[in-house]
Amino acid sequence: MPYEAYFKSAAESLLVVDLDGRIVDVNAATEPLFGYARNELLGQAVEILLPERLRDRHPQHRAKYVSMPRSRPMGIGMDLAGRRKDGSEFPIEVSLTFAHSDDGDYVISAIVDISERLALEREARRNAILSSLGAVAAGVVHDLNNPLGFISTRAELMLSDEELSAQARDDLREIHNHAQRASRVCTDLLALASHGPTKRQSLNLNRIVDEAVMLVSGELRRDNVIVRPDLDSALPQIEGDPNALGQVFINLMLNARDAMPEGGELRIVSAPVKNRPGWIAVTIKDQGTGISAEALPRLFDFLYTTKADGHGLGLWLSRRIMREHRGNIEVQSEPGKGAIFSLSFPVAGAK
Amino acid sequence: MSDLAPSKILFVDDERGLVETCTRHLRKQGYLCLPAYGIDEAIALARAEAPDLVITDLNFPERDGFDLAAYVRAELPGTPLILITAHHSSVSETAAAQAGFSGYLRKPFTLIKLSQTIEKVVGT
Repeated sequence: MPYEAYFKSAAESLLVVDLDGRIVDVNAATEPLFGYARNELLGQAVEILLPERLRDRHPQHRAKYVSMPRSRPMGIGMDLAGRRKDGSEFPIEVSLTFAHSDDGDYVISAIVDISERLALEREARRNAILSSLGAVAAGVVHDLNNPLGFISTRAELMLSDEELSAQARDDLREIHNHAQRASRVCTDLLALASHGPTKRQSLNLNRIVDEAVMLVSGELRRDNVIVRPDLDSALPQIEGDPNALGQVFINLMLNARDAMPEGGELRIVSAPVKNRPGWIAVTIKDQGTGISAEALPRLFDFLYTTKADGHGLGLWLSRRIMREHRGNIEVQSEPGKGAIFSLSFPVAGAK
Repeated sequence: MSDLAPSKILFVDDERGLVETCTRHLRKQGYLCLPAYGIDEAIALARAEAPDLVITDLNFPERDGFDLAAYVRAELPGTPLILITAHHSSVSETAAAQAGFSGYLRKPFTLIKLSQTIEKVVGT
């Protein structure tokens, strides 16, 4: 019978349920979806496949359906979820068909796991928000960057005056630091706004690290952070965007500085990745306060920050840049034991 | 810096505040700095003063930093050029190098970075 063949091999999960809510039959697709074997389900109340929070009200819904049966999708706009044998939940879409036959009346429900579709929709919504945010940011940042640049360079110029009082010198430093910080927010926002393929060129990662260190070393020294680079001079070239990568290293070094309010040592090591031919890595290791177990998995999330004055863009952006370079960024840390960020890259021409 | 006459730097940008800051900074560093706020003005100054180094922004309302570079390459061959670009500019370091710029500064830059770039370009 073609109907039987359809029932057995349909891609969606099909459940035949009697009017008391007992499962009479399930097809093969049901087993992997819910994690039950067919014979574990036969004879059970259909509520076994629902999360506990939805179970109580389900018999009411069933009764209402049976009182006015027609083929329809179930509960549009409702929170529909399935529950696997192991207790985990997943979002589903269900369509119901009332089947009248000689040996009784049944409801057949076709169930589709929509987690993937929801994830794609979320991603699309997020991208839409990001790109409009990006357009706004680009406009604002453009207007902010010049005056901020003016403030910080003018403060820098004034600092070169040897006759300044100690108080004035401190004040100017503060002004300079804050303008620079505001400028970095702008830079991050701009990088956010400028999506699209980055400009690729063959480059030596050590040079990018050196330049990034040079850019921030003055600031770090003032905060008693000593940078100790240990760069492998035989490092092969990679393909990448030097500005974007420089941004990643600067972000990580400044984060490390923020994690070491009393100062400390920042080790930056470049080397081939052990046991992974064709890959090189830069690790940045600080002696800071470390990262809590709660913060660790969320560290690279958009707008997630552990700093009182953070904006939650730096690490998110860093990870994005690393992905654009087909590379990885990873972190290991325990509270009180510092943090190690590892950035790994495929060597130019490597598969 | 040599013991002879100080290097003469032509600094071109239409942002007056930035030009003033950089000019004062470079003078403190012992350079002789000539400010200009547009490409035509910069070309006139270059013709009259024959600077040892030209630092120019890319974007101006009419002609741009590449036009100035073309003039300098033709009329003052061997004079090094540094390009300043906005942070989000799509002009890469490679494109700048092809146009004759041997140094590249992305806004916003610090005065230390400005000095470092100059030193790298003039090789002091």
